[in-house]
Amino acid sequence: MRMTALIPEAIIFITALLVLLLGVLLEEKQKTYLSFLSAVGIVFAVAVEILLKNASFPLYNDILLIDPLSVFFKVFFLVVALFIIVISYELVEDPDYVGEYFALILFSTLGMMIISSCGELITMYVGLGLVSLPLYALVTRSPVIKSTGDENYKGKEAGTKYIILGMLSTAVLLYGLTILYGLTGTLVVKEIYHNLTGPITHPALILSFAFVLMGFGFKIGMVPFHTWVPDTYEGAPTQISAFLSVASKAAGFVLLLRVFVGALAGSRVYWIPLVEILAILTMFLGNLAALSQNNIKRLLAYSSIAHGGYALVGIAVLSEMGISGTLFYLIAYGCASLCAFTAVIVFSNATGSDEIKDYAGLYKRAPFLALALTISLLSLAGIPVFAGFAGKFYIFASAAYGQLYTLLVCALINGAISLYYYLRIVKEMYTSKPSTEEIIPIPPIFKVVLWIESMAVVLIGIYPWIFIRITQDVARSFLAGF
Amino acid sequence: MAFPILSVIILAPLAGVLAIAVIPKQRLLAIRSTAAAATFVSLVGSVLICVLYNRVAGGMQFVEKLPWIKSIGISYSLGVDGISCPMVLLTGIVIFTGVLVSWSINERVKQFFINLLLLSVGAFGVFCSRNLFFFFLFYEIAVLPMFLLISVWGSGDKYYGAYKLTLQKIGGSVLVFIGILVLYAVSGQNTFDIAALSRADYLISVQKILFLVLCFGFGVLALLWPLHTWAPIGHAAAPTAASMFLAGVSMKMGAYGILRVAIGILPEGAKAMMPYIAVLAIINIVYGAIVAMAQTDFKYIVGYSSVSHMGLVILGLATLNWVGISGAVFQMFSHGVMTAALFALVGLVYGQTHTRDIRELGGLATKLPIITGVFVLAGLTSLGLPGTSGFVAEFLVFMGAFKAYKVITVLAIIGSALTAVYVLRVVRRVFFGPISKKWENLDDATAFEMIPLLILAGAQIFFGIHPGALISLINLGAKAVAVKAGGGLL
Repeated sequence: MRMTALIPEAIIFITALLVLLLGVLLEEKQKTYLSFLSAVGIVFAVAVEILLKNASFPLYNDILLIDPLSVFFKVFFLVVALFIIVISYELVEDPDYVGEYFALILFSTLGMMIISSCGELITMYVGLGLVSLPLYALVTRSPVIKSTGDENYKGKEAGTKYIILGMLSTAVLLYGLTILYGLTGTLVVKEIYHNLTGPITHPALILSFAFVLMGFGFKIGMVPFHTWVPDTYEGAPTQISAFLSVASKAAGFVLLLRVFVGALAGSRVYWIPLVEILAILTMFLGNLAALSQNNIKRLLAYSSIAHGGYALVGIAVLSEMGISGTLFYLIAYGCASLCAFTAVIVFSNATGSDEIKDYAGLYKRAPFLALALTISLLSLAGIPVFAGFAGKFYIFASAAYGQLYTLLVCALINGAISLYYYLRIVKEMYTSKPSTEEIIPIPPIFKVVLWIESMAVVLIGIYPWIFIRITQDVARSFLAGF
Repeated sequence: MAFPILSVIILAPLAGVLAIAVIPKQRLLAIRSTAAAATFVSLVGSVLICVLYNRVAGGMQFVEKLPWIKSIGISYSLGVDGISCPMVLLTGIVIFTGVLVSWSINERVKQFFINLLLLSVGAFGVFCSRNLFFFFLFYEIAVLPMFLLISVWGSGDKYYGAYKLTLQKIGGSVLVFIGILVLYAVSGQNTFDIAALSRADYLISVQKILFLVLCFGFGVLALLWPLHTWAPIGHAAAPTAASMFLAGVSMKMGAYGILRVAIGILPEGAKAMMPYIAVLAIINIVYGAIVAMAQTDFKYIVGYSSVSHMGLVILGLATLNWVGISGAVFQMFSHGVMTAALFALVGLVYGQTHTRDIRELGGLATKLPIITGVFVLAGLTSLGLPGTSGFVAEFLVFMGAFKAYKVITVLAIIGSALTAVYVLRVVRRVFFGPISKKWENLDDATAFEMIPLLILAGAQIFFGIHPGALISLINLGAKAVAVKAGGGLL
């Protein structure tokens, strides 16, 4: 019964519908159970996925692929969604919106699960739509500003920008896919790969893969398709920014692996230099722009652009070590980024501010919050012993092994640049005088989440082998397909 | 499996950090004594390995090995040889005395000791690692603690000092990181094990480039001119214990990196490039001494004297022969305890006078006889007076250097003679001459403050009179390197 491999998707789909329905039917007070219900659905889905970890077979004539790569990413997306749902606990104040909010997150996650498995372009496109449309709604539907009761125009602006650019990039992607279909006569990625073995000389083909790269680059936040990132992250509810910065970015990477690498691996010599240059530009732009930010969400947005650049290094290397480096980097980055965003949520819930200068003296007002944020920022900066260090070491070692020395040097220079702006926040928190001594309360559930996230950052940094071994198996099985 | 003494040395301060973290912050005495106890364990451990090291067998001893990331040859592997032993001992001495000197810190005591202990974890780790991954991990671990130590507990232009020091060190680390990864890639061994990497064959062109990359990368910490600029500013801004650690241990981590990684793995590259590095070392020696003569801030003087003395270390390493390298390592140890003593004394004086301007001080000897005595001793070690450890070190370095570079050595000797000028100038200005009214009620070091001073002074005298205790260790390690680098025995 190979169809059982789709049980996790079914669970998420049914949970999402149930949440949507109950969101209308339930009494106002009972709606707090909806987040619980969503979380339970996700836990079950993860459990089934883990049972599938050794599965490797196609479904419906290669339309869906169940293999370690898909299982890896599905678990990744589900776990991230779980965290987002938990930290969204107190976000939604409008009772009419509660059901929709959690259902939208679940639908978007379902879309991500589908694209993790996609082996065919139409499925991929539909899955991508399922990822994006709920996100457009989630970004735009920002709650009113608590302190003033005003409409959140920043959220609306962020949403509009995200929708317009998102639609545009999807259109471009579709255009690229159409050309690809026209040239190869098939929609199945595997067959496209077999039909495209020779050198890429046909101008239409070059155009098509540039368009496809553009479409996926938008999700990753790759330069020059990154412009939506800072505004959207700043304007969106922080929970959704976290979701975008971790899950949606990883979705871009799974698309890149599944479709771009999957279809075009035969002609890698032609596009690897392009990916290399884009990775370098992405790192530099993200890090240099982050230097001058005063809003922590914007800073994290630019830093997430830069981290997309680091993770692209592994794609440019395209060896077993490179791919597993990218996957491991996504894990390391994901933990740290979630931890940082969680801390930002706690802070802004209590103070209503996202300005870095308001973090002054945080160690006095909330020692644990300051510590957790410090750990996550240092991990993002790649300081040992945190996960980010192991991630950077591993992926850069793969670049050295692949003899991509230019990329290696640029990436390391960027690591040094980034330290400055991460340290700036740490300095504010630990050395500046607070404007008020008022204690910042950390709700118990956030305390637990922060503990889990920061411990994950530390433990993965101390003993990365557990995850590196998994990502290596995934990468090996993925590359064995070529 | 034998008792993992090296892990204990490395992890004792970490255990101290965890213990301090759970002590309530009002219980100052408990926090301070925990820090002292943790570092004391490391100190005892480091004395033990120096005593117990089997001088007949040589090589790597007290080895420990655990696989870590198997697919790319990373293992948690520790071990010490004749070069690392003295360095571990130095770290033990400096960090323990650093904790004692910081007893009077009253501001955010808990965080202070947590940061200070974290520094030592990194240093012990660097000197004990046999795998480049862990070497680099420990090398980098101290970035944030040092940043916080300076920017929270520092003085003067502390933010500038903290940023300059941190960013410059990270700049060096980038070069080291590049060097390590490229070594891994070109060696074709798929391992980060230092011994395995040093057995691999590298093209001579690769050796030359990589050697320079690593040498300049580590050179930032080792104060190689012109990468030294963080040191005086950083020292001036840092609190006493951090200054002691920076000058006493951090700089040695740089020099140790040059010796163990750059020279140890790339001897051919070292042979080709060391004459140029020797020229930079000369600039270090002479430039550091001349600038030190013109300073009026106490800490700047000691900071620039470090620039000059680290030049001696680099010169010793540049000789690539047995005697020169032995001298360099001995100088690393000697300068470590000497400069730690100087910073501790400057801290004691500054704590009472609240000025470090030597023009304002004067005649303190009448009021502070013990501090004066230890300062004069450290000053004499600094200028290499026979009977102190500084003499042995300088003698060996110059002996080795004269064999390798005649002209340069003559210049170096002249340069290091300048040490006498600025050391004696400080001694005269600060401690002798007429005493100003406002210093009438200064107090000398208390009995408790004398403990660290006596340890540091004792080390300088003991190893000056009985250098064999360390030389017998250092020789073993230095010989292996010198033979490999083809520098000969003398």
